[in-house]
Amino acid sequence: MRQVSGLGSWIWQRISALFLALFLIYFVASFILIDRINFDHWREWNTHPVNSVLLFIGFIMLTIHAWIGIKDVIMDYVHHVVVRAIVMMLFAFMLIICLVWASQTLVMAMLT
Amino acid sequence: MQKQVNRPVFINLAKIKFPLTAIASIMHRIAGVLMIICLPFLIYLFDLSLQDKASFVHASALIEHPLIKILLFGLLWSISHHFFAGIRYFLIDLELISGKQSSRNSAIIVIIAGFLPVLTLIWCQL
Repeated sequence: MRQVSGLGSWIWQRISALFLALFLIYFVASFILIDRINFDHWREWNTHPVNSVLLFIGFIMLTIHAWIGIKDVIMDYVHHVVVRAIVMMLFAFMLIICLVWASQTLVMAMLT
Repeated sequence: MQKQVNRPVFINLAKIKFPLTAIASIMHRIAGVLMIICLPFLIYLFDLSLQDKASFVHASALIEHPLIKILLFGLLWSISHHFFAGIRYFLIDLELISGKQSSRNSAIIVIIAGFLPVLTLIWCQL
């Protein structure tokens, strides 16, 4: 069971990394030639159907990627079992809040 | 089994040479942790920037603040380094980078490439 979840983490870390890397290239390419981004353009980009779907998938991928990454770091440096569990829970809580917050921001921008 | 007693007990940290591959690896971790810790702030900025015109202007003013600017430069380094180091790990997974020499060379490239966007941006603002 442990081995299965370990392999799952390994695969998901790479799937999410690939998505985030490609999205980063697309994001930078969309704005690099623009000298000064204004509100209308920024909002238009983020609420564009294709971009908003990519952003939403990106938020989920970022949450997965950050969680697997921070979990590995915590397991390497925090050895006390109780402290480790608490630190992990704090980060899990924080990442979930971030995912909900970012998604809500995006939905609100699309509705108004 | 007899314990080896001649092992060095006092480790001279200055004498330990960290290979460049290890430095690139630890930077990858530091960059990742830094971005996660700053994630709530980044989403706060994202939220501000999309609410309305006034809050967009507010967010634009916020990122002009010197201290926040330093933080954002740190985050720009983080994402760049993490991105290039990540590509390096993909190439290692695919066995396109293998052996001591190419591991070392690619680590140097990653460390330098990580700083390039920051340096470019500072250069543009001068």
